[in-house]
Amino acid sequence: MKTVGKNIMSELVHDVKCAEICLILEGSYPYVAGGVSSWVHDLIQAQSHLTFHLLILVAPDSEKKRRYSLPKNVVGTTEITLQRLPKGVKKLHHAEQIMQQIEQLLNDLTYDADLDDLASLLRISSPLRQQLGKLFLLDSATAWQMLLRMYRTGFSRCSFLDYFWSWRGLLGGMYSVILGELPQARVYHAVSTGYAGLYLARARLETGRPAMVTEHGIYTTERCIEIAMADWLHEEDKFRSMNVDKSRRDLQDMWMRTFKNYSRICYEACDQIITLFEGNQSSQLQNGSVAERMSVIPNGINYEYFSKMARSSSKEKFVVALIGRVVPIKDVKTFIRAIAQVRESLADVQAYMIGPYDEDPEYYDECKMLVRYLGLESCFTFTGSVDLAQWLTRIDLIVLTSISEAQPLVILEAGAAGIPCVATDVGACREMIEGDKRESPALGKGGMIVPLSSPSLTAQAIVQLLSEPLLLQHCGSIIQQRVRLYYNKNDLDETYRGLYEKYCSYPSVQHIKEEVA
Amino acid sequence: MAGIGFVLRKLSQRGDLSGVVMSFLYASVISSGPWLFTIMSLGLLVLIGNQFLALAELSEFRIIIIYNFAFSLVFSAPVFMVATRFLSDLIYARNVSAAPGLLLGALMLLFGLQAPIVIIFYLYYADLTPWVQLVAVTNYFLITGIWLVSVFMSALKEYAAISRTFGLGMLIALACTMLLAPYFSIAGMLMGFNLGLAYIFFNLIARVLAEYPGTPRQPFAFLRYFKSHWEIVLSGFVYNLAIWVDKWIMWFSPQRDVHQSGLVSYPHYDGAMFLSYLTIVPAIAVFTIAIETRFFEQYLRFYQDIQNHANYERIEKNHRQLWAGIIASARNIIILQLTIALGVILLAPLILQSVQASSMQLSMFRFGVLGAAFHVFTMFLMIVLSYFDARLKVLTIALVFLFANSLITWASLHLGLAWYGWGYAMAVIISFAVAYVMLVRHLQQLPYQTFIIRNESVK
Repeated sequence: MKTVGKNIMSELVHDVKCAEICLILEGSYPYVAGGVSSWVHDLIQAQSHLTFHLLILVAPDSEKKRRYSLPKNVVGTTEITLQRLPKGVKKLHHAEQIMQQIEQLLNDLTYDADLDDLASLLRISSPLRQQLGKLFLLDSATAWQMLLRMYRTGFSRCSFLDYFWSWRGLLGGMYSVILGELPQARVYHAVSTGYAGLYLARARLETGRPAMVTEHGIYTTERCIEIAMADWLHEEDKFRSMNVDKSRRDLQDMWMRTFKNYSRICYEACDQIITLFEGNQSSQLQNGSVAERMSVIPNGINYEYFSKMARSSSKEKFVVALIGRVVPIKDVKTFIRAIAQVRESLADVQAYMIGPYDEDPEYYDECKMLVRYLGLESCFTFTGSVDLAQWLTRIDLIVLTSISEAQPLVILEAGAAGIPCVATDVGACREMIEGDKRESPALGKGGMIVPLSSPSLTAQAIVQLLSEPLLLQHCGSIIQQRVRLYYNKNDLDETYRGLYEKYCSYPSVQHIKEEVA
Repeated sequence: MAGIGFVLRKLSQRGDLSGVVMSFLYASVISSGPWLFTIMSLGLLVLIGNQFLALAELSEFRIIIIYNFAFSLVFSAPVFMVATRFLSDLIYARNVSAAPGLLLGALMLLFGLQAPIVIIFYLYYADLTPWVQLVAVTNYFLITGIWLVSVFMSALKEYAAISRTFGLGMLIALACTMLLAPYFSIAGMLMGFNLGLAYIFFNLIARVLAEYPGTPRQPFAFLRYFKSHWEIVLSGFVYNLAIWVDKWIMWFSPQRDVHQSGLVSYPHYDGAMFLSYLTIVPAIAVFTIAIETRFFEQYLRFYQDIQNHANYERIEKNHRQLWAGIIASARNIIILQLTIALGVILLAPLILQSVQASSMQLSMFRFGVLGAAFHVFTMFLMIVLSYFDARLKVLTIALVFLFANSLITWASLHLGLAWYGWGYAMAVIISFAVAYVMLVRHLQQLPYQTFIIRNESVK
């Protein structure tokens, strides 16, 4: 039994270092540039009165070049390489017993897991934290026997090599979360589910502090698509037979089930489950999220800045633009075909593809060829990267033909400038154009929603809006109003500030360390 | 999008077991070539030599040959084991352009390191005539060179051609030795022997260069293997030292022979041992055939099926068959060799008489025959373990062999003439027991060993 004085001392030392918010990041900030990372960067900067600790989960052998310089209020970082475990000891007392307990829980975790399973696993592992590691958990003969038992319950027709690597990958990832260092903080906030979500659940259980998650895309869905496409499960092999596809599905199912379970555990542990738009919430509910704890906090933009842009009204031609990168996911070709059809009824239209085209040169060439083939050279221009602010003053209507999006900010930026939008029904597009449940009273439509890959319906919508100046103006003012009321970054920052404030002052709930003590 | 996606993709590139696959080449190359060469040369030397025992010079000739074989084998072993592994890896990588460089570099290293010792030994220590000194040094380098070139030959797997070259070379050696002996005495005999060895050496070099053409580049690229494959270096040295250590200890027996040149030997013991080694030639042949056919097929199937995504049931079946195959082959070889050994032990007096050996050699010869049988079993087990890349186990067996052979031979030296040879026999029986237990344990755990212990990708 330790002396009381010593315990207090160590608590005090911790408090000095303890950040207010611990952000749990997986495969994004600060090493990978992109939507999620810029969001994180903005969030930290907007909450400059709070201190942040970053818990960064990275893949083994991933590139470690920082794409962002950390804001001053980041007071610490902890980096965890997934699947890289400490060596630990080779042999433990009661090794068989411990492994059997772990095995029971692992089976639960891959089939039907809840927060209690994770709690039990933490209870077993926390007294052994110094000893547990790769040598015992993954490489020992005891672990090998466990691997064989797990393989035989349900996977015995699967490729053993694939199972072996899957087993090591999944368990290695999970063990690195269970055994990794856990920084102290007042509130834990994960920016995705998956391993980050699992870490969040562990933090909740071990510290009793509030936990929240903000999901941009739905992790489980993204992971499932990736697993379905993973080529290691599609290799040609000698034992090709009717059973092969089935056995591959077994392995894919194992991966998908595991990630779904991690999401469920994360949701169960969270006090607040946030996503960017309502569309995501149905997937969250399916994965075990609970409506009372869910909320939508969309991305916002600087309304002041974009709304001040003067609209030039004296123009000879209608200007229509797609703003984004020239890549297949934006389906630029549908946009080009739609413009060709628009030209049949509206001669005086000028179309612009605004955005960088160097990411997928092949696709860019195909698009240029399509423009030539349809005889649109005189009215269709690829601008490359430009200063958007200058262009927004000239555009009458923006079009977004993407086949997949989360919450494209360009709709909001154009909307703040009073430009309506024709967009496909993906991600948060409909909510931004037509309004979501938060809106009361309903403002109306700030543009039009069209189906995926439909040049003719897209063209119809464009023609309808451009040929009725009053409608165009009406939609423009509606979307401008909506952005001002619901997508103003200042307001949304305020929402997060409120949440952080609330949870920072929450009392701790009972946690595992106390139970053990 | 957030999340660790690339983890999954990485898996596809990591399913390899290249570590083990590379070792099979190495193991198949180390085989028993150099050992067979030693046995045949020294055994025949005894067989034929005894016919001319009257010649006083013969003992000097014989002692030089024995010294050269023994010391060059022990000192060259680390280099040729490393060269073997390096070459196997080149073959595995399907890029043998570095092979000529390896041949040149390894020869330079062998000759460069050993030249000072050999030259000082023959020119300053041994009391010999200048001509004999010169041909003795040449002889040493020829034998050393042949060790190294035979590494490349075993990789070529042209057993028939290699056997012909060795056979013809030994015939030339024999003919020239007899031919030149009357005119130039010992120097002539050695010169004649050297001509045969030179034929073998240059013939093999020509074959190697024909197989691996190109200019030698980066001759010392293989040196880094001394560090990365230190277990191989060490076990090569220890094992070959163990083979000779009982002879060297016996050179201190009261019955030893101190030649006027200052070179020490114990012709009765050495002769009895070399003669008994001849009894294992059939076992080596049977083993080589077994390992290259049935074993190799089952071995490859075990690893290839894993790579080809077999399920565990199939892996287990292959595992059982591989194991059963090894046990069956081992049983056949053991029965064959023990039968031969029993026959030779019973007929020992007759055999010794027919080669005009001394009756004092009887018990040494009997122990030698028993020992040779277990020696060859141990060697086979070590080779099989090498196929599974169990380097530390091989090293352990070599160390057991060395210590047991040193200690018990030393003890038998003090127990008296009747016990001479007992040390060697006991040492190999102990080593065999250790090797057997290790192989069985390794085989029991083969899937675990394959996926975890020997798998570089999980490190």
